[in-house]
Amino acid sequence: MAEGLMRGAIDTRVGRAAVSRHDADMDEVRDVAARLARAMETIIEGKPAVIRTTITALLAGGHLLIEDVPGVGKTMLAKTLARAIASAVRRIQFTPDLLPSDITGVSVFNPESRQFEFRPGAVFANVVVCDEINRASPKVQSALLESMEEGQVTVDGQTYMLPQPFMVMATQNPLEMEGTYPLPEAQRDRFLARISMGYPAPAAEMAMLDSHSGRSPLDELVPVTDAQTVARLVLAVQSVYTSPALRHYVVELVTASRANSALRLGASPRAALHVVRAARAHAALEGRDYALPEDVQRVSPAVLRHRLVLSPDAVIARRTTDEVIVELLRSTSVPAAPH
Amino acid sequence: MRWDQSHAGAPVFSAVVATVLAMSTLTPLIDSPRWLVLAFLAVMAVASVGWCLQRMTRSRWLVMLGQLVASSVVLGWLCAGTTLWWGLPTWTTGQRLIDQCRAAGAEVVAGTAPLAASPNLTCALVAVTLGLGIVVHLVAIGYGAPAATGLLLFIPVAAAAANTTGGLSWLSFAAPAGGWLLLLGRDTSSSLARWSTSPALALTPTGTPRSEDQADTGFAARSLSLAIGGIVAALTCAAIIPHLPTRYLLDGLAEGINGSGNGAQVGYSSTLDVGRSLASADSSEVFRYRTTAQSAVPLRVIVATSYEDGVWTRPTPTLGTTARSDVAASVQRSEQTVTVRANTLAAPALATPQPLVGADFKGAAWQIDQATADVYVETRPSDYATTYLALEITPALLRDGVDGIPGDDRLPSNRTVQQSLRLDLASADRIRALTAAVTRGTSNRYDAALAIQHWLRDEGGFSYSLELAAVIPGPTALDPISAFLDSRRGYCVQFASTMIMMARASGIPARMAIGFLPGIWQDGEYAVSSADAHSWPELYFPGAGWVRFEPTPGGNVGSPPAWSVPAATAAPTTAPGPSPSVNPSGSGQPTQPGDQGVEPVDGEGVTEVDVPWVERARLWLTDPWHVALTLLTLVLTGSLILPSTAAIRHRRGHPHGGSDAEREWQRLMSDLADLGVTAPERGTVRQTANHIAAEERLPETTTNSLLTLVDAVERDRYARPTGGQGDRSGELRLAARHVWLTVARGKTWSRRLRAFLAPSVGRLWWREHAHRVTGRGQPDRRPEGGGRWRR
Repeated sequence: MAEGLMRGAIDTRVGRAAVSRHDADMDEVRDVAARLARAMETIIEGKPAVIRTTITALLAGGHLLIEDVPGVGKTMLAKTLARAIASAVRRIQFTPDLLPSDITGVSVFNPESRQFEFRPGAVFANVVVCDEINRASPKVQSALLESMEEGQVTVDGQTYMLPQPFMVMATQNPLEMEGTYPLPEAQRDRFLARISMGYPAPAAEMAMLDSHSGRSPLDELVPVTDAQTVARLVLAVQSVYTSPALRHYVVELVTASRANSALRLGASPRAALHVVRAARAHAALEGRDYALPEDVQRVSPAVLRHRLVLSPDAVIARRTTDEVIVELLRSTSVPAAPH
Repeated sequence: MRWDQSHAGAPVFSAVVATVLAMSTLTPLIDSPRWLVLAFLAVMAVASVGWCLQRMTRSRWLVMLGQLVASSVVLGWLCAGTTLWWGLPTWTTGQRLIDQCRAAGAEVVAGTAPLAASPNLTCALVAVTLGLGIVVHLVAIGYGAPAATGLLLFIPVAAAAANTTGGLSWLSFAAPAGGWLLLLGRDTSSSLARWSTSPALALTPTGTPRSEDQADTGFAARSLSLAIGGIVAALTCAAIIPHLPTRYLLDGLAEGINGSGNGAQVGYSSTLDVGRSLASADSSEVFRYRTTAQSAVPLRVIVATSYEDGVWTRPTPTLGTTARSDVAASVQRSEQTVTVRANTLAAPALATPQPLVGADFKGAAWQIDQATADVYVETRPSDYATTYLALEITPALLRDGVDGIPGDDRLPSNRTVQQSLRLDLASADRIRALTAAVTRGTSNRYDAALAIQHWLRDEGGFSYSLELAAVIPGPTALDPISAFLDSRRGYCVQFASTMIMMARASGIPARMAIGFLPGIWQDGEYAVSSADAHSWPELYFPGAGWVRFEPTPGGNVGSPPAWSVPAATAAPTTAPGPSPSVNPSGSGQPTQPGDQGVEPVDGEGVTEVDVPWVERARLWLTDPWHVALTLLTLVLTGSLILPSTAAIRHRRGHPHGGSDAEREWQRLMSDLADLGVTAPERGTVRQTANHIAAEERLPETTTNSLLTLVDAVERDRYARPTGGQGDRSGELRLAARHVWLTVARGKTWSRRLRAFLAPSVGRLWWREHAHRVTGRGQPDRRPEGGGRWRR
C-alpha cells in the first residue's frame, strides 16, 4: 500500500515540465543518478524502487539500513552501489568478537620512527557494508554509529576525518534473533532510511539465475561516476530549497505521528530533519531545485518506518508501520500557501 | 424517515400556505374574499392540531383522523354555532353542515361568477379548504411527497379557470405555484440538512462516493429545479400566447342543469319572454359547423326590435332576396365562410353569421328580411354554406365614425332605426336616470356603450343565474327589466334587454339578436347544442352597422368582442384628458383614417408631462406585459448578483494574497467545483490535477495546460522566492481558461448554467456577509487546503 501511494504521489510528468528551467547542478544530479540507477539495475534486477531509495540516501548523505531475510541480495546491493561509484568500499562482517578498533582503527607504535602510527580501521572508506550489524556487541555498534553521526573518528585523542562521500549500508536479519544485540531505537534513528529488499519477481529471478550462475556480474560492472563527483552532488543537494510551507508540512507530519494513537513512539526531530534531507535529494533526482510535498510523501515511508514503534493495541490489530504512515500522509493537509 | 424531521413546524405551515394560496384563485368567483380569511384561520388551526399530533404519534392515519375531528369542531364553530353542545359538534351540527353544503352546491350550480358570498357558500368553501389542507398535509408530510401535492393544488386553479370569463389571468396561477414551490423547497432544504448531519466518510480522498443521501439530495434539487422550470414555462406561455377563445375545462358549473334532452327539434318562436326563467336547458345538439375565420362568431337566428310588456317581438319582415348593408365601404373586411351540417333547427328559422353576403342552401327555398338580414327557409336544409363579412371594427371607427366625424346626426331615418330607439314605457324613467348615471363622463356613443356594458358585466353587482328571482308583487310585477334591476340576477336575455334599453336611452339604436354561441370545439368543428342558445344586443353605429356587444357576465356565455373591450392603456372612458374638445385643431384637419391612429397618441404625449412619474410608473405597470417585463428585468438583474460578486472577488484576489498562479489556480478550482468536479481534499496540487485529468478524461493538450498551471503554482508555493520572474499571468489565465472550457464542454447545459448563476465564491461572500450582519456565529468556511483540521 505504501508503495502504491509512493508511486501515485509522484508523476513522471513532473520533470518534463520543470526540466528546462533549472540550473545545471540539478540536471547533473539527475543525470548521474540515472546513470547510477541504470548500472545498478543490471545487477539488481526488478527492484527500481529499492535502487531509487538507495541513491536518494546516498545523495542525502545518509546511511541505509537494509533489513530482510538472508539471500535476497542485501550485500549485493551494497556492493553494487560501491562498485558503480568507483570508490573505496569496505565490508565488515559483524560477529560477537569484533572489536571497536577493528572498525575505527588503531594506533600502533612504529619502532623505526619511534612514534605511534594510526592504522585506519574498516570504516575509512566511501561505502562501508556492515553485514549483520546486530551480531556485534553494543560497544562495537556504538563505535560505528558515532562515526556515522560525526563523519569522523577519534582514536587516542586524535581526530581523523572520514572520506567523503561516506555511507554506511548496514544489513540485518530479522529472523535469527538468537545471540544478537538488536539495535536500540536511539541508534536506529541515525539511519536515514530503512529498506527491505523483498523477493524478486519470477522473471527477475530467472534472469538472475542466468547472469549470476557463472562468475560474479560485479566484475563486469563499469563504474559510472567517482567519489569526488558524488561528494559534489551531495553538496549540491543540500542547496535544494525547502519553502516554509513545506517545512511546515513536515512538522505537521511528525507532530501528527506523535499524537497518533496507533504509535507508541512517534517521529523524532531528527526524523523530521532526515525527511527534509531525503526530500531534498528526491527533488534533486527529479531535476528540481526546490522540494515539493510530493517529495516528502514519497520519501516518508522509507525514512520513518524504522523510527516509529507501534502501540501494543496496533500490534494486536496486526497493523503495520507502513499502514500508519500512509494514514498520517492522508490525514495531514498539504499547505496551500506560505504562512 | 421523513415523519421524524417534520417535527419542525415549517413544512406543516408551508403546506397551509400552499393550500390557502391555491384556494385564493377562487376569489374572483366569489364577490367577497372574507371566506378566504376564515378558511385560512381554520386550516391554520387544524394544521396546528396535526402538528401537535405528529409529535405524539407516528401513525399518519391517526394524525389525519385527529385533523378531521378538529375540522368538524372548527366548522361547527364557524358555521353552526347554535347547534354546538358545550362547544362540541353534535349530530345536529353534522346535519346542519351537510344541509349548508347542499344549499351551497345548489347556489353554485344555479348561479355563476361572481357568486354572492352567502353563509352557506362560505361554509362550503371553508369545508373544501379544510379537506384540501388535510389531504395536502397527508401527502406532503405524511407520505413525504410534496411534489405530488401539485396535482391537488391544481384542482382549485382548474375550477377557477373553468368558471372565469375570458380565462384565468396568468398571474393568478403564480400564487398557488409559489405555494407549491415553497413546499418543494422545504423538502429540498430538509433533505440537505439531513445530508449534512450524516457521518462524514473517513479518509476517502479519491473519487466521489455516491452515497444514498447524496443521490437523494441530487434528486430533491433536481425536482425543485424541474418544478421551477415548469412553472416559469407555464407563466411564460400564458404571458406570451395571445388570448385564445375560452375553452371550458369542466363546461362551467352552471351548465350542470341538464334537461331531459329528448332529441326533439329545436325551434325558435318569434317572441322572447324576458320574464321567464330558463329552468330547463336542453343540451341536445342543434348543428355542427366549421368556419374559415380565425375565431368563431355567434350565428344569429332572428332579430327582435320591439319590446312590450316584457316580451320581445320581431318586426314584420320585408322578405326579398337581398338585404340592406349598413357597412361603409372603407371598413376593412374579409370574406369568410361558415359551413353548417347536421342542422336540426326547425324551418323557417336558420342560423347564419352576419352580415351575410352569400349562401348556398342546397336547394331549399329561402328568402331574406331586407331590414334585418334574417334568413327564412321553407324546408329545413340539413347542410348549407354561408359567406359573411368579417369586419375589422376598431374603437376608432365606432367612436369617430367612418369619416372621422362623430355621426350623431347621421342615423338613417328608416323604420328599423326608429323602432330601435323606442324605450319601454314601464321602465323608461328608471332606465334614463340609470343611464345618465352610468354614462356620466362619456363624450360619445361608443364610450357610453362601453360604460353600459362594463356596468352590467362588472360594476353593477349583477350575477348570472338561470333562475330569476321571484317576482315581487307591486308596480314592477309586469316589468321584468325593473325586476332584474332590483334583483340583479338573470341570464343573457335580461342582460341584453337592459343594455338595449340603456343604449336606446343614450341615443344609440339597439336591437335584440338571438342565436347560438360557437359551442364546443370537437373534431375540427364546432358542435352547437341548444344550451348554446344566447341573446345579445346589437347597437347601430354609423358606418359600422349593427355591432354586437356582450353585457352578460359569467363563464358559459360569449366573451365580449374585441371592440367592446377598452384597451388597458388607452382607457378612453376613464382618462378625461384627450377629448375632441381639448384638441379642436383635429376637426379642421383633413380627415383620413390614418391620422386618427396618430392623433390620440400625440394628445397623450402632451398630457403625460403633467402626470407625476410615480403615477406614470403605476399606469405603466397596469399592463401585464409591462409587469412581466419588469419582473423579467428584476429576475435577470437578481440572477446576475452572484456572478458579479464572484467576478469582483476574483479580481480582488485570493485572501491569502497569492501570486497570479495562485489566484488562477484557486479560481480554476472553485470554477471546477461549481461544475461538479471535485478533487481529493488533502491532496497536493499535482495530485489534484492528475485526479481531475483522469476523472474528466482530459485530452493531452488540456492536461498540458493544467500541468503548466500546476508547475507555476508549485514554483510559487515551494520554490525559492526570486525577484524578476516575468509576468506570466496572461499565459496562466489562458491555460486555466482552456482547462475550464474543456471540462465545461463535457457538462450538461443546466450544470453550466447553475455554475454561472450561482458560483460558490459569490455564495460564500454573501453568506459571510449575512453572518457578519446577523452576527450568528461563524460561517462554516471550509479550509482551502491550509487549515489545521484534525479528525
